[in-house]
Amino acid sequence: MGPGDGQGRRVARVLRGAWRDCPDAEGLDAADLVEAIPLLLPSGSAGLAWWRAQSAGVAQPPALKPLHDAFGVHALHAAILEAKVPAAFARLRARGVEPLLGKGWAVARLYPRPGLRPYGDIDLYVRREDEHAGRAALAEPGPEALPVDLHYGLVELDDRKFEDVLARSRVVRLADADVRVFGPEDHLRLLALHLMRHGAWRPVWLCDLALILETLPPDFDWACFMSGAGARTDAAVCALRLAHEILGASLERVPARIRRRPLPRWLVPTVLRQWGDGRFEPHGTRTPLAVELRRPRGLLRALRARWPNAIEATVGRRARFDGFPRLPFQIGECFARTLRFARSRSALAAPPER
Amino acid sequence: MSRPVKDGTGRPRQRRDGLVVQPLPEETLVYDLERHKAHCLEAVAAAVWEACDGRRTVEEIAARAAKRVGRRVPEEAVWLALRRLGRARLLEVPVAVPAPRGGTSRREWMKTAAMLGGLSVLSISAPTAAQAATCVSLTACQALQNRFCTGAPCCTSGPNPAPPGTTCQKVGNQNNCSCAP
Repeated sequence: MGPGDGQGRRVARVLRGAWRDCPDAEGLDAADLVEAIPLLLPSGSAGLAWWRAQSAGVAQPPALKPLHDAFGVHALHAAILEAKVPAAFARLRARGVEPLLGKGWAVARLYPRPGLRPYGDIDLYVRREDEHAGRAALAEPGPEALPVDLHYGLVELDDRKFEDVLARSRVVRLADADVRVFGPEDHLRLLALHLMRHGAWRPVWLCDLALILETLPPDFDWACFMSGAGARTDAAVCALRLAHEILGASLERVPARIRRRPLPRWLVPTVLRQWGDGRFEPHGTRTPLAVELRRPRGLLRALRARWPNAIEATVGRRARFDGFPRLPFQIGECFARTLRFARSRSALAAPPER
Repeated sequence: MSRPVKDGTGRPRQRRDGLVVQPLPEETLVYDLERHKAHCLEAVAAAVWEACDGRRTVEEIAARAAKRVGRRVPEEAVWLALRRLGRARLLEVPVAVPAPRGGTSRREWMKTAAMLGGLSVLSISAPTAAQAATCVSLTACQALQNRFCTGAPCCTSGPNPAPPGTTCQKVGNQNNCSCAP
């Protein structure tokens, strides 16, 4: 076990059961909590840590102040974003585009308090053919900027037909608006695959899975969850098992086929190492590669920041989560990324739109 | 007990414009969109703030706050909460705390009031929390050509922080995206 694993394990101990209405104090001590604060804050897990610690009465208020502050900021940010969701739907619907809301608000609403599960934008999914209409709708001048991340197609779920996913979707009320969210089977699969595609770097993503696993609707259709491309289903199943292994999520209502799926030995340590690495720069916060390459030693720094972890590489190469070494997949994924970068450079060389 | 406030009405009014309010069971969170500051109001302070409608006197505010929190709220506590709310710019006009009666100093009077608890108006500053959700760094945003602007929130921390509350967007006819409100 390396130092990163140990720190990651500490984060995992702090977050065990933190998504529940009344989390308990089992395995949590104040020292762990204080040590983990520098890792919890930038990973978006501070609110959950505060919730568990204050519910369990573990630490004294001064120690909890940074966590409580982060929770407060997340809760306020959630209120700001939540107010914009109906406006985003209204703009797209005015152009005849029916979006699906996923991740972010769609999962944050399931937590006991706003602010426990932070999110930075509104993830809306539209049909590929609605790309132009969708872009145009969001580009319209309006009274407020809408922080929408518009996805054309279903990204992690593109082994499913949009129409089928739409048919299984649910409409929920938000303020005075009807908001369309993914059906529970599609959403759980989407969240599981999103977690794995990004190398499981945010602990809160694994908490999402744990929360959903423990609050499944009675009619949850596991066959629907499992349907689709084999490698993706395998990755999604491994993600659910990780929620159990690392965070103690209950698998009581999960079929035996998933419960018994053995995890390769490298998987849990990879996640914990990722969680324990305070220097990690997630996507969206890295300096662009093009900018890095202008500096001396930029290539080395860029490569270090972008070297795919074993999970990202396995998902990227559409491989199975088995016991074979991951290095070939990591090298392969690195080549694939370099190729994508080279292609995007040639696209960027085109004159900008006016 | 009727005491004057700075505007002379004796009836403080809650500021409403430019605020985002998130009421929670244990506290009320307020974000000032103009000053980009967040505040956490403990239960009594939140109840006092909620009761400041510009019509109620301090006596009436105390009665209403007591009803809401389920325990007695003395007027001294209301004055202390009002002072803190005013400092946090959560009132239309800040209040001037009157001189205490009966020979006690203002300091002692405030100290006694503070011991009642639930009156804190805490400023929240969590620079690292803002980067927790997916965000785009200022450098990354400015490196994008205007047709690739993500609309994602800009990171407010790191080596080159963007102004708070900005998103990566196309601004005017600029070739590259900017972090703008």
